[in-house]
Amino acid sequence: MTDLLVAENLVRHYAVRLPGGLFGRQAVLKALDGVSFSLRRGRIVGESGCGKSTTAGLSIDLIPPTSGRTLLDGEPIAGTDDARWRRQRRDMQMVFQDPLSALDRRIPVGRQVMEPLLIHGLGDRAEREARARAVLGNVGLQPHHFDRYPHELSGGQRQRVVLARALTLNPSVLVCDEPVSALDVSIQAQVLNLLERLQAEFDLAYLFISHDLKVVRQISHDVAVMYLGRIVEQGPPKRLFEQPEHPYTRMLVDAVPAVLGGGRRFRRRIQPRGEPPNPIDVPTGCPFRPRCPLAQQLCMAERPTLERLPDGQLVACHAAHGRIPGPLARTA
Amino acid sequence: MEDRVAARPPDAPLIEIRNLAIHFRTRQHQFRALSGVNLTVGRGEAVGLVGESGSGKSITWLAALGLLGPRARVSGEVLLDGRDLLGLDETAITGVRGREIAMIFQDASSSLNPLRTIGSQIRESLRHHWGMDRNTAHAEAKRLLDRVQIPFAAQRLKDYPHQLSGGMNQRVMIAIALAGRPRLLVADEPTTALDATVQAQILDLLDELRRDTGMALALISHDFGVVAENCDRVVVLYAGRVMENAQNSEIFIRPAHPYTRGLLAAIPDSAGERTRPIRGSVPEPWSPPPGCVFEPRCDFARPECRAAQPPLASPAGATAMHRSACLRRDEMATATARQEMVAS
Ligand SMILES: Nc1ncnc2c1ncn2[C@@H]1O[C@H](COP(=O)(O)OP(=O)(O)O)[C@@H](O)[C@H]1O
Ligand SMILES: [Mg+2]
Repeated sequence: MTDLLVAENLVRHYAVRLPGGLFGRQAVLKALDGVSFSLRRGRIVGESGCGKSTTAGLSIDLIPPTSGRTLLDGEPIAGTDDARWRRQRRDMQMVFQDPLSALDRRIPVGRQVMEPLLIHGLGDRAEREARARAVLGNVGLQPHHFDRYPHELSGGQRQRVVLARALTLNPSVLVCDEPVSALDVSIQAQVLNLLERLQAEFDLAYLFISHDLKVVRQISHDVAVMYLGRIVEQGPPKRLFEQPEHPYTRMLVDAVPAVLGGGRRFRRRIQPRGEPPNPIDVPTGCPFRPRCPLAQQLCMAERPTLERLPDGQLVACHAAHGRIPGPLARTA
Repeated sequence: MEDRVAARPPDAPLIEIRNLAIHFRTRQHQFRALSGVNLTVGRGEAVGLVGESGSGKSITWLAALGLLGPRARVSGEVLLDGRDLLGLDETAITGVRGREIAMIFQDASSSLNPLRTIGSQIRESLRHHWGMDRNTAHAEAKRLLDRVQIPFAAQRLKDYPHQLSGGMNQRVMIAIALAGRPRLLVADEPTTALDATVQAQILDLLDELRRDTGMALALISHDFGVVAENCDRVVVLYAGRVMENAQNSEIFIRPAHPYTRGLLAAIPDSAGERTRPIRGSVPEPWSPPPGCVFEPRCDFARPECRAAQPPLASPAGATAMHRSACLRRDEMATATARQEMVAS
């Protein structure tokens, strides 16, 4: 099976001026620093960690990369506004976190769902309306919602409208940036189940971005954890959450508060410490080194690359690959 | 005030909220945002307040501190060591804020004054509460930053909020709260905006401070996991009413209200199990359902649930502290949290 969406070594740097008035120094913020991944049809890749939204924007060409490229169905995403680019843009849709700001509050939601068809010059008015009504039904909204305004709907219903609008053009890839983070737990589960159903029904691929590991675990076939603009670990959710290899993944997984058997529980294997540094001052060597309990000389000298373990798990950590000792070390 | 403390039994709760109700009058609507809320916090106790957005978690404490403004009509009692805070005049309630009850919020970076250094903001709080002179306040401010585990405290005092990360600013807010040596700290979603690893550190810090100083903690969160790990007892709010109130050891094992059960089943658990959502959505506060507020979304509802809001009472076989506002509380409490219950 070929990969539907492939990101090759995406880099996005921004020139920034540090605070300090006239004397502020110029610096480079490495929002994304060499990220590669691929997405097969019908797969969901979750991401968690720093650099997520930039990855989303770059992977569907909303933000131009400093270097690297994205391929859709084997074809590089065209940089110009030609026929291929328009076809590709139709095929990749984005769903953002905040449904209220993604919708126009002055226009009934049904018309907003029709809008992408209008922009792409597809169908006549009756066909567009029929399509919009069908998609609103697909996301579990009632016919009477068609004429409602965004503020007349609940948060969960608005997120469904945003999803419907992304689906009108029948895309093959949905990039979802924190699609349930603004929703309450009970509603969040409704939208997650809907996303899973739509995926199966329309053979969609999702690039699903969330800071909530529990949500990522539930919905993904493959998970990438990012730290300071790079992927530090990637693999199937069960492996990643039950046997995290990278100390950052382990710290993240341990930090997720859980309801377990009704007691207060402190079961952290790695005590979380420190905070992600400013992406302008990325440490030399391994970017996680200052917070890592396993760090050694080698970690200061050499930045670990993302390499496979024997079972296929991708990890960027010297300890995981047995180059320095550590509880996570294994002999390759 | 001191003798009044001495006159109360030592196990009397620190805070006793009785029958608290809050009405709002806005341009479009007039509605009751909180109804008949009863809630206690013991000395040194950590109580979690959970509920979806808009359920009334924040206004409960804003009302207690007289911070709701003129549009709100508040009734009931908020007893702090037996003294009703709701009747106090502005001078008296000012003496309570920060000194007896301090509050920290989700967005620390915007609660701090961007134009003033961290040090001057902590010192101001110390001068306000204790009338400390500049040098004493400076030394105490440094000690407080050490206490909230901010490295290189002496240097950080000269920093402005924008020079610190979100997690560090939340630590500064905690330091400012500690300046008044409050007996209760209300932490309103204190870690919601933070990275998971930073969230865990802030919650650990709050827990440690509570144990060391004997200060009570009211932790507001929409995340059941957060309260499960950091509290002794949980109060579940829905649409301005208490649905269930119990020790952790009971509520997470035998939840006795369908809403609590629903919330627990809706959380993706760490084993990545599929979640079961609660159908429908929260009622608009100005058009609540006639009976139990949760009835329209409840899989266990019966006709009698539409008659009136059920009162809080203990389910059979549970401790007296465990209370649920469901007519079917006894049946609910017989099945464990992960057990599917068959609706009938
Ligand atoms: N100043 C106010 N004026 C009018 N309504 C308000 C005001 N503050 C809060 N509310 C309403 O009161 C209810 C409870 O709010 P809140 O306590 O902030 O919820 P929570 O903290 O649980 O998310 C909501 O319906 C909210 O819209
Ligand atoms: Mg709130």
